[in-house]
Parts: sequence; structure tokens; C-alpha cells
Amino acid sequence: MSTPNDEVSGIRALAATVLPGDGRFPSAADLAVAERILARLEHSPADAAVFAGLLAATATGSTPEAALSELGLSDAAALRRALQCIYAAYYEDPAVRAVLEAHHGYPDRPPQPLGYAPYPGREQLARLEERRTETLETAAWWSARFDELGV
Amino acid sequence: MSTDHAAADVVIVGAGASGAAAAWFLARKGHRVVVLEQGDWTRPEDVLSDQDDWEYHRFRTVSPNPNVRAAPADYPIVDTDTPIRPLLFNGVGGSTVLWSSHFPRFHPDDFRVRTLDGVADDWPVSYAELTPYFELNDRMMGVSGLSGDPAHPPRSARQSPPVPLGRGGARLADAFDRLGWHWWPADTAVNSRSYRGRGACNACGPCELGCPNGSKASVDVTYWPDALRAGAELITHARVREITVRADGRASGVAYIDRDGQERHQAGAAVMLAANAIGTARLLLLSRSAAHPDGIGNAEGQVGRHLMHHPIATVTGVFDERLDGHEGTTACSIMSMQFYGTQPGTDFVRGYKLQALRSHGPAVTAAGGFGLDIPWGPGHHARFDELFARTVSLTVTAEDLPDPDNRVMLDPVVVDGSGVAAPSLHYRVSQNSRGILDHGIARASEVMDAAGAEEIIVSPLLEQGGFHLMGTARMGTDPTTSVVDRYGRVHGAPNVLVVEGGTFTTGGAMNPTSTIQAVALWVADHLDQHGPHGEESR
Repeated sequence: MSTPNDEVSGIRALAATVLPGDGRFPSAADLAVAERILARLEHSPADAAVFAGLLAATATGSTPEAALSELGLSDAAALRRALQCIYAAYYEDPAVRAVLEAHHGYPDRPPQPLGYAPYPGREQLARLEERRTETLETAAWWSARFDELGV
Repeated sequence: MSTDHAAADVVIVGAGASGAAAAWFLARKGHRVVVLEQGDWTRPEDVLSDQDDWEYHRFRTVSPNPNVRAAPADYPIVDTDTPIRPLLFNGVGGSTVLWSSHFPRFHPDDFRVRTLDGVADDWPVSYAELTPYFELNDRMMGVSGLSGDPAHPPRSARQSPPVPLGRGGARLADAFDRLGWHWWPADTAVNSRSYRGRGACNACGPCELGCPNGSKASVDVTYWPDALRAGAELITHARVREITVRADGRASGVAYIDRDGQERHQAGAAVMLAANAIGTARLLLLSRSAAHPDGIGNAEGQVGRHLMHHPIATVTGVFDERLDGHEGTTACSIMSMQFYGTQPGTDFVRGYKLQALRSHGPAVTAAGGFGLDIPWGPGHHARFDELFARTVSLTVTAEDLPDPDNRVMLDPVVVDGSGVAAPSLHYRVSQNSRGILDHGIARASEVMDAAGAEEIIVSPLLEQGGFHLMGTARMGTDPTTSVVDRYGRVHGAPNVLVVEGGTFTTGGAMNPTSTIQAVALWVADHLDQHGPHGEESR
């Protein structure tokens, strides 16, 4: 019977295989990714079953890489579930968010409550406003159809 | 079974887009309306876009796929025989709670496909007849956009200006202009400025988590407050399992299971189904009696048939600059009607809409976003760096022709939490739809090329794309090939009415919510004027 410590170390190995780090991005092994995942598995039986299968495979001799690859071949949807859990737990980590902000300009905060101020596209909209009164080729085609329909 | 509510004039099943609109309209007209909803309200504090773990919740607790979400209000949907997974939400507001708010109307041509192309059927109701209901619905919902689109009939000024195009949308607009192809800012059911007491969108991005500000026009914040003020009664955690009938076959009300698991009955002079094209078909099929041995409206075996989706492909451009597509309404920027309807010189009929999509946060991007393929393992971070915040996508949204073999059935094994048979989906993407998608992928790739994309990534079919559910209780004049008449009344049981996307005779290539609601108001108006026992179904 596995202990929680076994589960954490097993999930940590899986997460580090998926996200090994590259010098800028940290390895998932160095963050609290496994702990986050384990806490969530308590509330998600379907995810817990996927990780139980992966941990069983690694406990019986498969490497984490082999266990993940095998799962991808036998049940792609289950692998997708496992990856979603790992990515969600990794990309919300403060250390990873700091890298995202530094290298991608992605603010280190959730979307709300501040929101964003996206590029308005005023130039494109102004061009469209001007052209609205012109006769586009498509406009003439549609217009004839609307006349026919009486709309 | 106990009955503890007085008989209603109209019992409505489902508190989503269509049920809310119909409830509001009928209550305003003085009818006693009782609405039964199997889910609950979503409070602003239930929306988790202000939490660090918001992307986890997007994957799981508010997944649009009920089989993934598996919340107590959800029922399982057997989807092993379809390449497109069903997406919907059970709760007050229905799927509008999680929708992306792209809000086009069906095009006038969509109502007369048989006349134009010799395939499928014409609707028994026209765009012109629905126009006042489209306009009324726009006022209730609040639409951001720009009137004057030459590809659509004239419509009233939009309630607020277009939402920001975003860098990606702007690049695509420039590309469409270079190609000489139509584009227009998409009608969007999100306030770009305050409207009817709801504030302006702050462009946080993940509309699909729900909107904590009420800027997004989900019907729990648009129609429902007015419907309740008008006297409509809403009962939550009420799972309807059967429409009950009298000896003459007309409906007497509905049997439902309440929040405590108790069997109850709600009597009504009319029963209106607003439970989406899966839930409505399921309920009609479950309602077997001596008068309707195969289910209500199913004497000709038509209930559940003609299930239509919008098969969707995505074409994503990767650019050499930040586009920051995580900012702004995910699925709303610009759209193109250039290839809507049958295209000369092609081997398919009907056509498609091109719609710009922004992009996602980091975890959703890593997991694939709109068809991206980011490997796990040593190559992950390098590929992530190439793609994150640097993409914009176009959907190819295809018109799916009705096929009687694409259908919703009752599963013989799987049941919901109350022991009621679950629905199962049986669906194939047709050769015609595949032809449309392939044509659209080629054209969308031309747009991306014209926009200067360094790389173009194609996803030929969106698996998690079954959010537009249509056709399973289709409108028609012939009871042997349809389920309801032009006023939404079920053939053979005219005091049972259907108001949701199941009524659609054909599916167009437009996101359906605006048209679903216009149909609901049209049906409700006729019911108000003529009553449940008015002109017989023909």
C-alpha cells in the first residue's frame, strides 16, 4: 500500500518528466506541483484513477516516460487528463508566473479583477466605417438577395 | 408523488437562453409561468477568474463538457459514438453562463436551404417573420457591434460599440482587406459599455469561466431579473423526468424530482421544453404513455433524429510578435461571410463562416489551446515559447446538413443520478461537411499567409466542439418528417411546445443562440395570442 509520501514522489517524477525545465523555466520537480495535484485528486475521482494507473505502472518498473507514453497509446483521453492536471498545477506556480511575466509580458496575476486593455483596432474599424457606404462586390450580391426576400 | 404548486398556465423545463426568454415574455403578458431547472444559480463569487488556479477550474469544475464536469446537476451523456463531444451547462442561465457570447443571427438564406440548394428543407418560418423577435432579443441581451454589415439585412444600432479587435483581430482584418474579402466586427453579447444596469467588460479574457461582472449577457443577468419581477416562478434543483399526459394525449404537466429527491408533479395548461436539443429529445422519448407509446411527438420516430452540430476546424497563425490573445473576449473579434452559402465550383453545398479567436492562458496553451501540439518532455518549453501569446486563430464553422441517422437516443444501460435513462449520441461528420471544412481550411490558411504568419497550424475537427446542438425536434409542416410545427407545437400533442435549438430545421453556419431566443419569443408570442389549444398542429 502506498503512502502519501510515495504518491507525492511518484507524481513529482511524472511532472518532472513532462516539464523538466530548460534553464529559464524551472523543473516541475522543484515546485509544489505534485502536492497541488495530489490535493486536487481528492475531489476528482476520474483524475485520481488516471494517476493511480500511472503510479502503478511506475511502481512495477516502468519509467515515468514509459508510463506516460504507454498511456498515450492506450488511452489518449486519459493522458490528456493527466497532462491538464500537471500543466494547471505548474503554470499557476509563482516561480513559473514570474518567468512568464519576464519573458512573455504575461502579467503575474489572475485575469480578474483587473482585466486588460486590449488593442482596440480603431484603425481597422475606421476603415470599415468609411467603406460601409461604398459598394462592395459582396454587398451588391447580398443586397439583391435581401430585396428578393423582402428583408 | 406530491403536487405542492398551483397549476401553471405554462410550465417551462430549463432556465437557459430560450427558457428565460419565453418565461419573461409570457410572465410580462400576465401568464402564470413556472420554470423548472435542474441546476442552481451561479453567483458572481462562484466565478473563479480571480483565483490563481483559474485554469485548473477551466479544465475541470467549469468544463463545458458535462461528462468532465460531472456536477450534481449534470446528467451523463453517452458520447462513444460521435467524434464531437457535447458541451452544455445545467443551471440558471444554461449554457450562456459559460458561453463565449458570439451573437450572430442566422442569415435569411438559412431558412430556405431547400429552395436555394435543393437539399434538406426550408424552415416553416422565415427570417422576416423572426426579425421583430431578433430586435427585441437584442435589446434584452445587449449586443456590441457595428450596424451596416453589407452581408446581413439592416438591423437597429447595436446597444454598444464593437469590443476591441485585439492585435490578432486587427492583423486578420488587414489580411481580409488585402484579399478583398468580407469581414465585419462580430455581434457580441458582451457590454463594451454599460447597458441596462450591467457594467462594461474589462476584457479579462476567459468568458468561458463565467463573468463575475455581469458584463457578459448570460440570461441569468439579462432576462431572469426581469422575468422574476414580472412574476415568473423559478424552481431550481428540479430534475424533470417525464411529461405527464391526460387520456386524450395532451400534456397535464411534468413529473420531477426535487432537491430532496422527492417525486413531485407540476401541473400546467401547457408544457414548454427549453432543455437543449439533447435534453428535450431525451424528455420527449422518456414520456411514454398509452397515448404516446414511443414518446411524445415520436409517432413517426422523428424525435432525436437530425441532430446537427457545427463541425469546426481551426486554423492558427503563429506570428513574430506578441498578440496577447489572452486579453479580451475569447471568441469575439471579427468574422467573415465571404464563403457563407454554396460556393460556385465546389463539390459541396452550403458553406461556412470564418471567425477570429484570440488565444488562452498558459496552462490551456500548454495543453493544446486551439489545436496546438506542444510536446511534453524536453521540447515543451521551447515550443511553448514559440506559441504562447503569439497566435490568432480562425474557425471554419461549417453548416451541417440534417441527417436522420445522426440522432439522440435513450441509452439502455447508463442512467443519471436519479436513475433516469441517459441520452446517447450517434453522429458522423458527413462528406459534405468535410468538404466544407477542407475548403475553409485552405481559405483560412490564405488569410493567415496574407497576415504574415510564420507558421500555420491546422486542426481539422474540433473534438470538444459540440456546443451548438440543433435539429432533434425539428420544425416542419409534415408530421412524418418533423416533430413540431412552425409555432413550436409538437405534432399530436399541441400543448407541448419546444423552443430551443432542437426546433431548427437546418443548422446554418452561425452560432445559434440569437436565433434560438428569437424562435423562443416567436413561439411564446403565438402561445400568448392563441393559447395552448389554439389552431391545431398541421
